[in-house]
Amino acid sequence: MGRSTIGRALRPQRPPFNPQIRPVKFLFALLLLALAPTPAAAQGEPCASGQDLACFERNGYRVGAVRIETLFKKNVPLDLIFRVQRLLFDEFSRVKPQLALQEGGLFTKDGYNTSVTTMGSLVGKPAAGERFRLVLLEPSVRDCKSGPPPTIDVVYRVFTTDGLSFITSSVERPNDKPTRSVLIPLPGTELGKLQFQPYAGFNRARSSFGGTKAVFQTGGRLVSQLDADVSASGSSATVDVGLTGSRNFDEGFLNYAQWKLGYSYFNLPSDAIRLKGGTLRAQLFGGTRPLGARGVSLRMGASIEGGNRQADFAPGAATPPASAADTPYGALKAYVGSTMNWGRQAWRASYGVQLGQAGKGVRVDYVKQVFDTSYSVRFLPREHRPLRLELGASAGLITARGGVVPVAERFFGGNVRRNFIQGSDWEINSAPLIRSFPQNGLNLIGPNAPVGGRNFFSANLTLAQTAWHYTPIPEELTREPELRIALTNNITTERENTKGTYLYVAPDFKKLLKEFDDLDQALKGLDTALKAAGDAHPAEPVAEVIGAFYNLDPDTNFKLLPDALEAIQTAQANKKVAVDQAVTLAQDVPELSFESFLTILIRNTENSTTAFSGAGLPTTPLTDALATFKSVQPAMLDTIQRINDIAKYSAADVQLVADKVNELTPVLDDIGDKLALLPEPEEKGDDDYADGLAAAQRYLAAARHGVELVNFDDTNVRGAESLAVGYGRVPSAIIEGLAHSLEELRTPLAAKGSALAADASRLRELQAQIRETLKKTQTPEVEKKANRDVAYTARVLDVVFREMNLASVSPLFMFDVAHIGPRSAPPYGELRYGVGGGVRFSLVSLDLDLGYSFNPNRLPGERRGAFVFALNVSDLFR
Amino acid sequence: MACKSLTVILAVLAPDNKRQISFGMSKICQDANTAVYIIEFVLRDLIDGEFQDRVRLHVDVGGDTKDKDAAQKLIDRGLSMTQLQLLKGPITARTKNLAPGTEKDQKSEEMVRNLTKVK
Repeated sequence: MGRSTIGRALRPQRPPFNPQIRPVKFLFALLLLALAPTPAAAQGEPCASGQDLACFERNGYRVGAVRIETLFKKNVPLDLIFRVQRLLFDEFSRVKPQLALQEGGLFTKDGYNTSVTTMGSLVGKPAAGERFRLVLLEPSVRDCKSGPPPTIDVVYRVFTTDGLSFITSSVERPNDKPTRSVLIPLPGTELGKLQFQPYAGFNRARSSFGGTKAVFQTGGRLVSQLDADVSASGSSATVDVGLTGSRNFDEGFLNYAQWKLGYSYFNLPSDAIRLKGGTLRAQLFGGTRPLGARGVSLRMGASIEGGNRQADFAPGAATPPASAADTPYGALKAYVGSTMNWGRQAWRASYGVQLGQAGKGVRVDYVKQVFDTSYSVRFLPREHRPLRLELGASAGLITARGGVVPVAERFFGGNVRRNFIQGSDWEINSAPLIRSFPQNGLNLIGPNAPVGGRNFFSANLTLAQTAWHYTPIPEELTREPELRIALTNNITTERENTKGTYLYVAPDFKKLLKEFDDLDQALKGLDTALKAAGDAHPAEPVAEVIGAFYNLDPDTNFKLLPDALEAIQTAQANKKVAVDQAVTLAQDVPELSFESFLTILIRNTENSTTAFSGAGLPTTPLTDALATFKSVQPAMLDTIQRINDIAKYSAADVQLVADKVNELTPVLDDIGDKLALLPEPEEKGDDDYADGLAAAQRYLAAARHGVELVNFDDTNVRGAESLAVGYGRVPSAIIEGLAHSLEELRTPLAAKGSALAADASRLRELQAQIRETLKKTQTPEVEKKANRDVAYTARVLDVVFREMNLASVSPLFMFDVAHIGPRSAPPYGELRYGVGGGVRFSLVSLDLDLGYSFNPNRLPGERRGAFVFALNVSDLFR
Repeated sequence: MACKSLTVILAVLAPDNKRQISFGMSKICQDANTAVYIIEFVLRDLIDGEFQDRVRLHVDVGGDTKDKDAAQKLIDRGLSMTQLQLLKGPITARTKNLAPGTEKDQKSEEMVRNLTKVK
């Protein structure tokens, strides 16, 4: 039996990481990913004593440096840009004093061991609201110096999903967030802080402009956020301010609801016209949780708006007869949209309708309808060099209903998207997007015709191929077997955890709630009776048996009756933890030497009944409670079993999978025999061989553990999934890792390598067969739900390891086609084009497109083309 | 095979957003061929808007070969739904009454250690 050791002194009063730092801009958030890797060159020379900790202790080594390593350490330009380094070390400096090993102090084995777990625990502490965090930490001793005094450095390499949380929460629009059940920090860490996000841009219509977005989180229920977006140039201005409240729903069709009260103003020029308007609006938005197998999410919303619209025309410009240049403005808008992400593809579509009013009184002067859709896909012919294709199409129609249509409400095309619902996070483009025209520059449908269109269509294509990139994760880390195995198995753990929170969908769950109610009633009755008896200051043994219900039992560490009531209250308040609490209440666990509350309650109540009876006190409340305890415990155990059963695979399916998995055993044994006969790495003196052999041995051990698990757990096939399926290329299938590592040995081993390569082929055959067998099994519904949640984690990890770049440059090709109508006199109203090129500069998922788009069929008065300046967030993490 | 140190920490937030449970599994190489295995269990409660450590248990499971094998399996397999239920239910129930700052409780440590025996 192992011994227990005592950890270092706790410091509960101070968090390891300052939450004040958390809401920094998302690029800074990369720091925790940056904690991960270490270029080999930065690792220093191995010590003569290797990793022999006892040797260092015995020889009186002192601790030289205690440090973490970052990818950015040697990359000064990026360091300057992101300030990652400083932020990272600020955070580590808070952790460092809490470690058992301190710089300058004596190195001890126990201190080193304790420091590792302390460091892991501190780094692994989730931020407030973060639902799940995975941390992998690789400790090591390096850079030993002979002294005097002899010193050794302690180095930690860390990988944590914390960075993923930051990235995803930072770059996603708020309404995307509730669709994620993991990795997303809840609001709370940014409360009471005014945050600014400055930006700048250029287009020919507005010239150079600058502005800022500002957000202030209030934490209130009705109004949780104040936001503003203000921009200006010498010739233009836009203002948008709003008060926002929202609510998320844990279950049901709706995932979230959001309400807004806002005001916006715009003053935007184009060649022949200046459009101005002010709008006060009240809005309600909502979104569903992902629906169906594909996880389609629906968005819907409505907006009531009032204000004014103005159009100032250049001298000599045509003034539209049927439209009003200066009118009141009123509108009722509604939209519905849908979005879906799968793999590296993303699709969305929206339809919006506006009932518009341009005069006084309640009436509809015009109806505007818009449709907008987009599709994007990222091909990955080579890792970290994605080819990105983005397609978009929009269309709109305005139908007059006898009244006037404000000019500013007509369709003006150009190189800037115009959102149909201002203030909404859900974007519906409501103007023809054609990048060869400046903002609002596509506005003529005839030489003397009204300015702006009453219908439009536009389609856009953007192609970007990454040509230069800087990756955050070194390739050697991506290939690291320990990391891959840990990721694979811990995503499985995440899934198991998520499964547990969905158990409330079981048909028997209502029965469990009834049992909680019955037990609650019995406990409260018992509580009343015991307190009444206690108030009379009874003699022993009555006082003792009463105390056994309320006092902290040093053996069980329970305050029996209060704890049981609390467990019920917790379960009743949150169904996601109800089964955990039911287990505590009813299920004895011999493996943990754990007696449930009910087992102890029954024993204590029996003792109390005897004591009460002996003292001549009434026993009816006790016997009533006892009867309930005795009936509820087996019933609850049965219910727990039935509820847990919905997460289990059928015995036949598990057996089927186990039979197939067991075919691996002789192959693994054979591989083990062959590996055992291979020369020691020292004999070969080949680093590739040493790495390959170590990887093969590690994967082999993990594969054997996987096979054992399949045979050990007769309710689940998770072992087989880890072995044969995995979660992508990095959290990969264990068999895949083993086969690959065997193939890697082929070159250094020559003939012997061929035999191992044959084993690799056999492994892959079996892997395919296990996968086929798994497909035939009936996956429990709760596991399907959990799989959907976990798929996001796996997808993000795949992006981080194989696709994400800290910085990249991609040549850009742009093609647009657009039309505004109605056509009055050719060539006006014909299809217009934009063809151009440029460069996309990307910082993680923030894209800056710079380029020029030509107008190949210019009409009189039109320019040759327009500069393109666009700042977008890619769908890398959506 | 050369020993490779690794710590895996899983931290989960209770759905009521008021309690965190952190479960760390460490394999710490002592030399090229031997390792100790440590499980660290941390219970944190939301107090005054901040998660504070209430209990931290440091459980050494590297006492004998059998234990080590079980610990390595735990790292290689992750935790099952049943193991997580026991972690969030009985083990948390026992540890939540420990005095704030507790770092040693033999019975709780046994429970954490024996989690490896449950499927």
